[in-house]
Amino acid sequence: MEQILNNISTAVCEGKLEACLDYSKQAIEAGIDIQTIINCGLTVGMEIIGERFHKGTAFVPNLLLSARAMKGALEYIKPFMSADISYTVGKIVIGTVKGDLHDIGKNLVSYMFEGCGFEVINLGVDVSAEKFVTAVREYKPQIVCLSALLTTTMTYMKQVIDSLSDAGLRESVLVFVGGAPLNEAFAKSIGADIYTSNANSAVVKAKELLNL
Amino acid sequence: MESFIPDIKLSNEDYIEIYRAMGYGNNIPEPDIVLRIKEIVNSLQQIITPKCCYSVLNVKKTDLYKWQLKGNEMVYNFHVGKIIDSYLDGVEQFAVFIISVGPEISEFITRSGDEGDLLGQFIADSAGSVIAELCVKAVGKELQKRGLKHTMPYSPGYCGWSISEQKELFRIFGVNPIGVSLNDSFLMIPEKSVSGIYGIGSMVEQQEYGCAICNNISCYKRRQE
Repeated sequence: MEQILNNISTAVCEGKLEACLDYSKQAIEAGIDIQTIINCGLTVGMEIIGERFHKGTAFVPNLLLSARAMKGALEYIKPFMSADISYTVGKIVIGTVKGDLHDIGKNLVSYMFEGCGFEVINLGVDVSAEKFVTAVREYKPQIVCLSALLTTTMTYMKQVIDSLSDAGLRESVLVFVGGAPLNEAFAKSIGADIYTSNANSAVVKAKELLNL
Repeated sequence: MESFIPDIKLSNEDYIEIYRAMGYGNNIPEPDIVLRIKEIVNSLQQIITPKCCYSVLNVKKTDLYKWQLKGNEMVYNFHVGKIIDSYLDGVEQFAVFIISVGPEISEFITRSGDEGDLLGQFIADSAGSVIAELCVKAVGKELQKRGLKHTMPYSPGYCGWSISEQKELFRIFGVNPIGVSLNDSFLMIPEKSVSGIYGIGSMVEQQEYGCAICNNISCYKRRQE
């Protein structure tokens, strides 16, 4: 059993989707329970690649390939799960704020969250405060992630946070912000909870704050 | 206004710039990623329609960090900020430019994302940024062909020059030059477009460029050497 789980984590870490699917299939055929496959195989692989990224020995493409392998394996094992098994570890609403059309950075964060077992509601780009409020009310996420790549649009993040407060939803969610022109001080000044400079840090921080 | 279609060919050095734009710093990606990058760049080169335009206008410094441009019986004012201003000594004219890689690359990037190919999307986005920089360099080469000595290029939104000055810059060219428009946030559409200036003057020297002249350590364009 240990060998199969090691193979799964290695396949995730190396971003090898086909191998990850093969080993996941082997794990199921060997009767390994799904939660163990997730916790001791897939998640371990993502943690290793995340750590390498943090140390500068892995790069964004490695994260993307690992997340793809993990997502693929999760999709494969999903039908074998019983109702009492938790498939997702948390829920995220994410979007690029109004006036800004930058998509890629936000998608990287979104993909990393999905790859690490979160359910992600991606609202896209040019998202108004009202749309964020509606999504938080409807999906009840633990975290809202706001992205902006322009100095002219990052100020709109405060409007989103204020709208969440006005709607009585601010205390129910953590607000993460990110994007090229932002920094820790700006995040603090607009009342955001967390600023992260990259996708991996966002996931690490989310897991830490949600005690995962 | 002068406009032209740049001849874009990527050198090995340009590929290294793509790796850098992808966050590799001075590292080379794994062979399979390098191969993917080459495939995507080849695909992009088949579809992109890059264009450049520029206008050479006389300038004079009117106040601290402020420059006034005159041309076509119109006056334009730029507040370029302290950092860029310090690199414009001896400048007599600005070549104000807009370049665009074209809308096709945005469509490629969107399609890759829609198909779940985040790596392809990320590579195309990074390559698009490098191709856009090559278009900017092509404007500089055009100036050199005309015997105009110029500075390095500088753009609103960088090195302390407010991005809102895009509005003034675009006023020089009229509506949607080479198909590029500005939205309310001063973001250019299509996305892989760049606007800016080259300072021109018989005495100007090309100074060291980039992060060496700026102390904004949180800038996402900052080079990690």
